[in-house]
Amino acid sequence: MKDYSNSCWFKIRFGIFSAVLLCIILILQELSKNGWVNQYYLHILTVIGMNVILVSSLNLVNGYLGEFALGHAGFMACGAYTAAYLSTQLDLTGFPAIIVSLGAAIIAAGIIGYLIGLAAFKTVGDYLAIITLGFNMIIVNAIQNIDSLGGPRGFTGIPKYTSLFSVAVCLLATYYIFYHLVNSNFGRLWVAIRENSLAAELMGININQVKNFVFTIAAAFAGLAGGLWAEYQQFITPRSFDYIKTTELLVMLYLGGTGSLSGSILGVTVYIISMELLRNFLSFNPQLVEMRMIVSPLILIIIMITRQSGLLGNREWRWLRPAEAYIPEENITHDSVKN
Amino acid sequence: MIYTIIQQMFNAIQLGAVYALIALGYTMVYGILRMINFAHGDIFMCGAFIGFLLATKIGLPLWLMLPMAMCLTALLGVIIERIAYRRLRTAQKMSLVITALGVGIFLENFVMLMVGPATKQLPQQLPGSIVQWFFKYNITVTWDRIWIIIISLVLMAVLWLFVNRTLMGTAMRAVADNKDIVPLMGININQVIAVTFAVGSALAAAGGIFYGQSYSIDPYMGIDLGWKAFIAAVIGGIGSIEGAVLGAFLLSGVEIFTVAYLSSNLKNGISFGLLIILLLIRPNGIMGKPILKKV
Amino acid sequence: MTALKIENLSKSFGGIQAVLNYNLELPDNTITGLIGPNGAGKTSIFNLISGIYRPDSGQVFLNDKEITHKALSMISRSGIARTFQNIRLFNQMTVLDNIKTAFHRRAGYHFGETILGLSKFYLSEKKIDRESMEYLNYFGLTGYKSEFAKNLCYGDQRRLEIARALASEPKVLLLDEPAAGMNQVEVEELIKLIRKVQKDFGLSILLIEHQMPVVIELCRSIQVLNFGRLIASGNPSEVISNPEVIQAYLGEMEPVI
Repeated sequence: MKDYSNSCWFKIRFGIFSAVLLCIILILQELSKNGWVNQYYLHILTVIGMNVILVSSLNLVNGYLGEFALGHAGFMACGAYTAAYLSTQLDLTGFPAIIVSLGAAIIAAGIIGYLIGLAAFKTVGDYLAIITLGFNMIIVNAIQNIDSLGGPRGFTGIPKYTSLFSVAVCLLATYYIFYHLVNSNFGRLWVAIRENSLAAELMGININQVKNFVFTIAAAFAGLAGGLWAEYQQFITPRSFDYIKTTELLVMLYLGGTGSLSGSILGVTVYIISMELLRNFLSFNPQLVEMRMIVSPLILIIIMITRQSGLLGNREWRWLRPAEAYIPEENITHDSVKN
Repeated sequence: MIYTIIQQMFNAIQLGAVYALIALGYTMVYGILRMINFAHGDIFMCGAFIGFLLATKIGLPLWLMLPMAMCLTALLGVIIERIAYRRLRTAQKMSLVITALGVGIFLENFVMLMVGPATKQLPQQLPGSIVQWFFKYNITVTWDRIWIIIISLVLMAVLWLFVNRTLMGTAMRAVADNKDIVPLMGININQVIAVTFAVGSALAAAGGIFYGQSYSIDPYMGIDLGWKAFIAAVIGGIGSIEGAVLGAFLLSGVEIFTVAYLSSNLKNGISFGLLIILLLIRPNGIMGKPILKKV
Repeated sequence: MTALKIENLSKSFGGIQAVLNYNLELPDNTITGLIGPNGAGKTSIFNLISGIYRPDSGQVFLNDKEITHKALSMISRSGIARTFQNIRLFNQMTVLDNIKTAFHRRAGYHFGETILGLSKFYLSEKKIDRESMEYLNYFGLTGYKSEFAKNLCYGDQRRLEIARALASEPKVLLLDEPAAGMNQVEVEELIKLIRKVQKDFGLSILLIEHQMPVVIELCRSIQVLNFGRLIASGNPSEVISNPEVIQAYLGEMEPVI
């Protein structure tokens, strides 16, 4: 760690971690084909993976940038419907189809996010929350009124392209990108705007431009997750992207803690696994299974009252922290400072 | 033609009265705590179900059921504030909003578990006979609608008098103006906030029961209606009582006429579109005061 | 050569004239003081220069370029940095990151290089780290680099704010009551620091201060403001003997002299 020149050692660490993780997943997938591993566990892992992409992208806006946006599910809908439409209409199959449909999902959601951001960031605070929620509702309502997307009945017959492996690849790529962003100048500007927007602006930061930039990135990655989701479920309806989905994402985000990439992983994992455990645990009585629906909001309320920053607010697991800047005393000069 | 428009106007006024009763709760809580009480729509739903239970299980008549349901819902509102919100008053605004979201989901699911997901019908307790005078012009208006509109307007007038003419109302306006100074004047701020929640919840309960007189109720109705009322409060200028009422009638008018002359599928899109356009032109709503930024 | 020139700047809020026909010529490499009783419009002038308020009339020139109606961020990019009366740091960021934020205009890498994690990104970050550490070292804050800014003591926060302002490489620095809430010893250190900073960085400084010793020690020329109007300007000895100034300050300034 003392060697300051070795700061890209994150890349090496991350590469090894990814390779090991992907190998394990490939083995798991093979085993599950023979029935040696329960398909159900793979399903849970896939759902966790997709939600981590969603929640960590929401974290960029609600955590790092500190704005309260309430329309994330809308961007997910953009991505999901773009991917669904392209994967059924285009004359492609297999790998090229995945790349094209997911790429288009990212771009479509990003463009919509950018356009919405242009309007939404004319407001701040509570009004931003309202306006983003309004756009979420409008997106859902628009899809309901487009017949070629299935209207309110939903979009059926989407080919199943998404597997645990592809979700893992997307998730790793997302985290590679987010890690570098939040530990770069870009990420520092976001936090600066959150901490004191006036001081940030007086340092020459064009606040609205930066905010819209973050919003676009977050929307694009929500689009990616939406695309994966559509090609995993094979059936999507507009109603599954309304504000209830946004709320669920918020619950997972604040459970894990904002402003922390590790927090998003932890929040999603804890939430989904505890929901599933609760379902299994209570399965002896079908009426009790429904009890989990009131347990999850209770958990959220209790966490908010007792631990407002969530499980990992503004803190990172060690392996997601950048290497500490180490500069030997004798290397500190005043040359550049004094011009 | 003119008569169908008048007919639609009646529908709009009735729906607007319900929106206004809910929107008042949003706007009062926002005025005092600067907090969007996302659980308010679900308090409205609880009010409707409390009324439903009182009317069906105990068989109370409306004139007794309405005030009792309002009191019980007011109690619910106060309890929610005491348990979930009070400790977060000084915390980040986001944790307060998230807590409110959590409370809302909890109420929805709790009521769903208690009474089941099926829609319910409040017993018809007001005379449903048609007003003959209007019927001459082919306008169908029933007496219960007239009563609902009248009682709602009376409740709003009482609220206005309460806020503007009583000591507690003055204290509320003082807290809305400056929360830090008010305790120094010997006003018990917790009490004022509790009263605000109580009044807001009671009005929401009245809204819920009136809504249930003409539509069916279900545990998730609070989401949709709550958002609509919230939009109404924002359009009018959140924090302003007159604004909330104005916004409610404006929104219900737009909705009813959209459904009547365009398409019912466009209802939500148009009302949210209206909200966004209004926020971009007049960020503080029609009656809201702009907040000055002190550097 | 004048670094900052202001002509006939005026601003009113409702019926209150906060600033009326304010003029200033701030020469290169000098410190000018701006004093006046509370509510005289000193901070309003800072807000007008830095673009937080829009002036009703008048012009502001930085190095002979007009910056009057530019956007907030553009004004600071053109070379003005300021500190605040009530300190405005990025509280939940580390001390080092507070400084690093100021490097956003000269980061040396763009979006693509960042998300791909190219070595250019890492090398530039390393350079930013080193330069930021130099600033911290200059202000004696090296030991706190990993501390959250909110956890620093008051004097250190003041210094960090100045350090952050300097890291954005301004030509003109506006200091809003840097000595507020400091004791005698801290004030003396601050005077030394400001003088050193001015010399080392070749800055022109406009200084608002209530503590007269600071102004008299540091400034070659002083302007006195009352009710939004300039009532006197000149070198310190001229200004403090001006009867109008004494009248404006009556009771507040006498013990100091």
